[in-house]
Amino acid sequence: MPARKAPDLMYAENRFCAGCGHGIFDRILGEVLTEMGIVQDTIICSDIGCNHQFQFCMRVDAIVPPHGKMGAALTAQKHVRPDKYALTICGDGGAYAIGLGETMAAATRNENVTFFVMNNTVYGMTGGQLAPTTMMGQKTASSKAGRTYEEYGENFDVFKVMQGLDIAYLARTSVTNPGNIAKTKKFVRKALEKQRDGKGFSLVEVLVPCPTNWGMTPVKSMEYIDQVVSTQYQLGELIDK
Amino acid sequence: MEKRIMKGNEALAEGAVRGGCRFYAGYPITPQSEILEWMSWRQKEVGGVFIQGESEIASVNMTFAARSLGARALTSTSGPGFSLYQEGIAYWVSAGVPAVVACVQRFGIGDGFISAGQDNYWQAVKGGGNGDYHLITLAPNSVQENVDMAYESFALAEKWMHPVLILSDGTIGQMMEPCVLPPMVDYDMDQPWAVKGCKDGEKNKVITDITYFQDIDEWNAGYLKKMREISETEQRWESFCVEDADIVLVAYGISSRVAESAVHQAREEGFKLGLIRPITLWPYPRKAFKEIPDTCRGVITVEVNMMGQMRDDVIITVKGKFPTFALTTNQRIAKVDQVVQYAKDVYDGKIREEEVY
Repeated sequence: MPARKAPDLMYAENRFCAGCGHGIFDRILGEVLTEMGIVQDTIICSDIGCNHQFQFCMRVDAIVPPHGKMGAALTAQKHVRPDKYALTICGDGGAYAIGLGETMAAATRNENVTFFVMNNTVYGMTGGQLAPTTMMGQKTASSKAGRTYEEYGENFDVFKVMQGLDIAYLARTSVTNPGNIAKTKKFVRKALEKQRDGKGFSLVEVLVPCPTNWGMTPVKSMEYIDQVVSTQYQLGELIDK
Repeated sequence: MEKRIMKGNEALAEGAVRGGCRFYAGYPITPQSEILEWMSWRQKEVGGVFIQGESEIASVNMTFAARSLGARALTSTSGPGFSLYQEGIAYWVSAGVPAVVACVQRFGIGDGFISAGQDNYWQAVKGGGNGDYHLITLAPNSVQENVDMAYESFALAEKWMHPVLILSDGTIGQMMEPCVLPPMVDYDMDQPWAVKGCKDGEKNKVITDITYFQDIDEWNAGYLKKMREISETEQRWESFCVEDADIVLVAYGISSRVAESAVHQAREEGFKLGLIRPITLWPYPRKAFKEIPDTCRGVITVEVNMMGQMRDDVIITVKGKFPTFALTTNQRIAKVDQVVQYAKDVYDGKIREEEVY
C-alpha cells in the first residue's frame, strides 16, 4: 500500500506549535474536501485565533471577518452563493464566547452552514487563558488556582446548549489516535453532506490538544484528552437528521 | 427616467437597488427602519438577498461576507448601531472590501433620541474604528440625493476598493419629496477580486487584512498613496454666493437646506452671506474654501449637535485665515431667522471666537 500523501490543496507546512491538534484537523478537512471533490466549491470562513493559520497552508478561498462572527458571515455566504459550501474552522473562544450570539443565531435559524469548532479548553493564541470550555478546576493563565463554579459557572457544553434546537447535525470527536482521526473524518464528511443535501445547520466539535498552553508534551496532551477532557465532553453524534 | 414622490429612506433603498445592490443586511433602528423594510420585499423582487440580522454586529459582518463574495452589498443603521458597526467597518477597510453603509443620524450620546441629529460627524469622518482610515463620506441633503448617492456609491467604492459611507440624517430620511429614479444597473458579481471557490491551478484568494499576504511596508505606501489620491480628487461641494461674502456659512445635510434659505433671505436684506455645502465630508472639500474673499469676517458652521463637530475641519482648512464659529442647535434644526441673526452678530463682532472643545 503506497504511503498516504497530503492532498494537493495542502501547499505548505503548517505553522502550528509541535503537537497542536489544528494541523491534524486541517489535514482531515483537506482530505474530505478533496475526496468529495468540492475544493473548488468551498469558501472557508475563518475565525481569528490559531485556527486561522489554515490560510497559510491550504489552497482554498476564504474570508476572515472579525473574531467570532462566523455565524453571521457564513449566513451571508450561503445566501449569496448557495452553490458553494459555507464552513468555518474556528476556536471554542470564537464560537462559544465572543461569537456565541452569532453561532446560536445561525443555529436557531437552522442556516445551511457548517461549523468545525476546535475545542482545546483555552484561548490558545493569546497564551492559554480561561475559555467557556475550560473545565472545573482546570488551571489556565487567567485562572491560576483553577476554574471555580462560583467565579464562572459551569463550563460550556455545546451538546447541552444545542440539543433542543432544530438543526441537522451535532457531533463531537477527538484526534488522539488513528481510530479517533478516522471517526473525525467521517463526522466532517457527514456534516458537509448535510449541507450538500440542504438539511441545515451542522456543527462538529473536535477536542484538540494545546501542548504549549497546557504545559504538557504532545504525547501527554493526547493522553490528557483521552483520560480527562473526553470524560467531561461526551464524544459521538448527538443530532443526526 | 421614472418620477416618484418618496420618503427619503425608501428613496435611498431604491437608489441602492437600482445601483446594483443585491444584498442587504440590517437591524431595525429608528429613524432608518424604512430602508430595511423596503429591502425586505424589494430584494426578493430583483433576485437579491435580504437578511434581517440578529444585531448590528451580525449585520455589518454579513455585509462583509456578501461583498467579499462579490455582491454589491449595503447595510444601514443610525447612531447606536453605527457605533456597533465600527469594528466591522475597520475590517472592510483592511481587506479592501468596497461595501456601502448608510448612517441616518439621530441626536444624542449612547441611546440618545430618535429625532434627527448631526452628531455622528466625528465618528463618521475621523475613522471610527481602529487604525488609520477615513471612509469616503457622502452627505445627501434631499430625497433626490439619497437616491443618487446610494445609486453611485457602489461604483465609487469599487473605483477605490474602499468603503463608502452615506451620512444622511433623520429629517432627510423621513421627509417626502419628488425624485427621479435612474435605470437599473446590471452588475456581475463574478468580480476578479471576489472569492467564489478556488479553481484548479489558480491561486486561492483570502479576503482579510491585506498585509497578511503582501509586504507591509509596500502595502502601507500604496494605501497612503490611494488615500491621498482620494482626498485630492473626490472632494465635492456646492457654493452659493461665496465669492463676495462677508460671512460664509458651512453646512451639510438638512442644515444646508436652512443655510441656503438664510443666504437668500440675507441677500434680500443686502447682507452678503454665502454658503459652502460639503457634499463629501471626507475628503473634506478644502478646495471650496479657496473662493472665500480675504475680506470675509467669519466662517460659521450650522450643525444639529452641541459641540460644533464640523468646525474642527473648517479650522484645519482655513488655518487661522478667518475666525470660525459654530451655530449649534443641539437636537433642533436651526431656523432661517436664527441663522441670519447669528451671522449678523458675527459680522458685528458681537460673538467671540471660542476654543474648540
